[in-house]
Amino acid sequence: MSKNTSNRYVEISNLTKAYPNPFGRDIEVVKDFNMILKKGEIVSVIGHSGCGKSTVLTMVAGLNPISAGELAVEGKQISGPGPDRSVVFQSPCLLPWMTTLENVMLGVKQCYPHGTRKQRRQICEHYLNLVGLADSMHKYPREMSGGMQQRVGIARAIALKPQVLLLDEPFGRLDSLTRMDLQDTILEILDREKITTMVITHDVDEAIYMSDRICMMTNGPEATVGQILEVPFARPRVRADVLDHPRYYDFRFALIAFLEKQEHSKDAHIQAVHEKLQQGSEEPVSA
Amino acid sequence: MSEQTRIEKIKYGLLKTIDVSGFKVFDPVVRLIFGEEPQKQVKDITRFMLMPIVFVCCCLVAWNFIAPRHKTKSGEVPTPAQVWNALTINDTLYDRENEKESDFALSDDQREAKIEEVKTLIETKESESTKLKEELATIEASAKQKKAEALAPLQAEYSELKTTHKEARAKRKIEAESLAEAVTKKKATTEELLTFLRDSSRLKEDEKEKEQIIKDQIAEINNEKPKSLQAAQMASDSAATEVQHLKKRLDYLSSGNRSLKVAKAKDSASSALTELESAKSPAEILAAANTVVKNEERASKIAKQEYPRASTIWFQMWRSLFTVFIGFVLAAVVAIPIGIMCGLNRVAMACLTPIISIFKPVSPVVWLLIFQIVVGAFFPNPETHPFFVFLNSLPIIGRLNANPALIFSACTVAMCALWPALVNTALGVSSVEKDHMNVAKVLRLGLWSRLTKIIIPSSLPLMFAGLRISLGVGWMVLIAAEALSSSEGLGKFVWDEYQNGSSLTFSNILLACFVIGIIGFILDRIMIVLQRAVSFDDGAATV
Amino acid sequence: MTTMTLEPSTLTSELLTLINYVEVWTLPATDESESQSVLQLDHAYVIGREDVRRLDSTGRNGLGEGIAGSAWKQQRPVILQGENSAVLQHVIDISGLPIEVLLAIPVYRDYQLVNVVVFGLTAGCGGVEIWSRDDRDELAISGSYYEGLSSFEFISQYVRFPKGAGVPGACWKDGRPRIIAQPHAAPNFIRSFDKDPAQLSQCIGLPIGREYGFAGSVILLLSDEAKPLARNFNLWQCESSTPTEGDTNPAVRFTSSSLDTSDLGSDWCQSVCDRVAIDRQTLLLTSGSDGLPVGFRFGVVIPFFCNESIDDLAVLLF
Repeated sequence: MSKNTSNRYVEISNLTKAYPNPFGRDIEVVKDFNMILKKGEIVSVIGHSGCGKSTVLTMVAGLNPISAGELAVEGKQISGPGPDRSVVFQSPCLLPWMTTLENVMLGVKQCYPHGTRKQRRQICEHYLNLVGLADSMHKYPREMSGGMQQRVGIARAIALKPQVLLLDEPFGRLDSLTRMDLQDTILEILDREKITTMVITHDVDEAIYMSDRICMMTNGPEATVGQILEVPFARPRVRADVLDHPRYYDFRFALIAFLEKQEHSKDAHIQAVHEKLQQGSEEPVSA
Repeated sequence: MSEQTRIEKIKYGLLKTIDVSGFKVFDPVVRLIFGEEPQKQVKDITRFMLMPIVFVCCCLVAWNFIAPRHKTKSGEVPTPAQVWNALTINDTLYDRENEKESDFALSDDQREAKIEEVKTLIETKESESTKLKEELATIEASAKQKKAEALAPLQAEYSELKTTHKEARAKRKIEAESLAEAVTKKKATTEELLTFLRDSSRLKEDEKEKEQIIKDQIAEINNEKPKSLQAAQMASDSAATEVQHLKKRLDYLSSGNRSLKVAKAKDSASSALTELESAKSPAEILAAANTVVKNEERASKIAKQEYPRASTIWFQMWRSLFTVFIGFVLAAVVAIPIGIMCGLNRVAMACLTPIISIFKPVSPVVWLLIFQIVVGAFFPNPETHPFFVFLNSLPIIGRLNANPALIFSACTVAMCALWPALVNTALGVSSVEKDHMNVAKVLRLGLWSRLTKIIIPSSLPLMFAGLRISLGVGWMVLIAAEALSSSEGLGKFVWDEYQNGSSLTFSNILLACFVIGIIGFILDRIMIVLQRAVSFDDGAATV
Repeated sequence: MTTMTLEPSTLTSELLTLINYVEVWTLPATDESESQSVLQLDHAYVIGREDVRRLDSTGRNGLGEGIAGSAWKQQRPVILQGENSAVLQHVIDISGLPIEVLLAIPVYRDYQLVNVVVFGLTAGCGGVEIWSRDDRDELAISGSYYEGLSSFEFISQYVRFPKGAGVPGACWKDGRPRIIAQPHAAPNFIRSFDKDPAQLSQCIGLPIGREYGFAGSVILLLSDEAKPLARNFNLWQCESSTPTEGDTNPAVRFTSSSLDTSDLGSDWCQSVCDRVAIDRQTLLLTSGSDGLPVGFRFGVVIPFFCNESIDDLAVLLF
């Protein structure tokens, strides 16, 4: 095991989430989730809805207590939430009583406690500029569209200068045009800032376009990594080029085939886990 | 173009103000003024403005119709006009109290001038009053005559009926006696006698009924008071009271005036002083000195004296408002921090739940009695207690006569108004969106910034909704508390009216009912506006 | 998990297996260090249509020499295919045989190399994959051979399996070989080959490694129904893995985890097991020697050790 921190920048090992089951063994929603992220890498986590992808992300973010397993960033053990891992949620999660600028400022204040007010403001303005909201600094969230609100959410997350950026289906609630627009915005920023990123998504094309590797999750309970797919397209990416790539559909097919297989084997799997829970046996589920 | 945008700006500004203040009813009116879709606005106005107005008018008419037909122990149920009249009467009462109060405090030249003014007023009013009295006398005379004319035939008919009935009865008596004789001689059966007696008794009833009808008619005419007579009587009465009031004013300007009283006391003090100088024997000296001191004391006491106002409805209203405000502030100050604590900490919530559930349903009356005892113990000597001395020395509040009654009424209000605010605050704090709390967690906000930046702002709308309920509850509780404890306020006004039973009683109670209702409505509106102002989205519902 | 079983009665001479050449190399147990010892070629067999021919040839491969030597050196399976010069420079001239690809499988016992088994595979639908651990603790393809699976081949080079995921990950996790029948329907076989014309019906995963519970590599053998790897491919799982101390002939019991062995006879199974337990290395079953069931001409039994004890046996019958 090499201790090369840039190759093993984020190490997630045997991450498990168990919820107590009053009538048997604990239900393990996610079990033994392993993943290693290189510095600056963008990794998507894809899977059927309800498979536990968001659980993984919230555990990494520290918002959801970890039942078992470990998490290390840059070789350091991490527990609990912190601005080193900033999150963009599915809903923009802006505080409706604050303007755009104040929303971004809230986090910046925590991360730059020694900066002057003016400096902090400049930081906020810089990131709002990056996401294209220079004109809407003093607007309230209710005065903006969903896409614009999500941009604020992104600016707020990136302004924290996080070591790891966690995106939890950030475009899930947007229409497809806005979604593409926002994907490009994020990729542009990530190409520049080189932030290690984990994206939760259920959109196959989004996963291929945005990420360096795609982590496919099996269906829960006891969801875990089913397969990892490297996406070799060079960065910075141009959407049209990626889509036109002769092998694009091979990647797409691999992902869809995986998801379909999960869907088909779901019933059998659930049956197996159910039996196991009832018997309380120690045998691992062999599918 | 710019002109147009300016107008648009004004228009939308107005609309927003209307929206925030909760008077959405006027929205179409504003739009109509700015010429936006006139047809739709007119339709809206008729539906949501005219229809309610028409409905209220219908209610008033129905009231006007039904009220006089229901006779009660304290007279007829007053009509809207009578209630309105009661309002003007109460208003003049208030004005007169104000006049007397200012008269009492006047001194020197101003007083002299006022005396002249009042005297001339008295002259004119007195002449008016005598004129009105004369008019009343003539009207009364004519009414009497009319009545006599109307009564004469009826009375004649009545006496005639009476005599005929008397005769008939005598005749029947004789017949009965003869029939009884016949029975002894076996010429008639007892059965026949009984039948005859039954018949005659029935006849007697009939006759009585007839007499009663005419009697009723006579009584009706006797009771009848022609409108003109009523009006004249009222006019003469009011003129008389006006004259009386002016005379009272004169009294307050002259002998009853504060400055004069002070001067008099000072005079006697100085005369006692001269006496003291001329006095020889020790006993005389001592007596004179005593008088000096006593009079000096009196003078200073009188100088501080306030006019002893009679309580009017408006005074009572201000006093009630002040009490409810104190009670409401007390409730908010206690409920909000506790509510926040409960919302944040489930243990605190669990600890307070039994207390909340037990004390919430307790009747305000019980609280009133408890606080009456408890507060009374705190202020054994309220007149000299620094707290009340301080309160009563304040410019506007001082006029409201703060006393322990005010404090325990306020405490009762606070106790009853506490719960909705507390429960709602706890609910608001505990139901902060999970996403927002996640944001706080990710940003690692401290407890203080978490509270001020996220928890309190997001629970403000619910908090204010609770406060709004609290204020409504407090206002209702206060009136009852005042009525029960005879603490000054609108409740006491109602209670006093009920007790003293003048001809205006019923009208005054109804008047108080409207005043209480309207104030409650205004308070609620104020809370809605506040709630809207703190809401970050279109939360508050209009009622 | 079924298939692979071929009733001896149904065997016809037309049937050809994918594996048609077997070599077994042995590393003699010496006190010398690895660099000084030499792999010896003990047996080499060509499995033809009608018979099994033994090639009488001896060879020696040092560390890194030839395919067996490089498997020894790299400590993982090695694939050589086609016109690769190394194939041609093999100790035995196989240029005349219909061999497309050579696969060398190292067999370890207690961290020590015991055998290297080299299979020669003929042309036919299927594939061989060697999954090895990379720097992120994931299995990635380090060598492969495919036929008729171009899409599968393309996507597989970008696929990674962490421990426990897919067939290779599962082999890594429990350190045991396994047979997956009808992989397209098996939930464990994750990659899809639906796009390709060829359809796989059998998949065999073999973990190869020197440490207990850790597979440095996993071999995945893929084949279709028409041309199986062997006429009978069996995996037996050890019941009690610890031999009794001091017992020279430990009674080790095996149960088949993958196939119904009743046709072979439990007595026969026990005898084979006993022999492997004594030799503690790869066992060859030839028609001359006793112990080959009726209808088969040749057999290879590869043991999977955990430290000193045998965990699993892979039995290939031709």
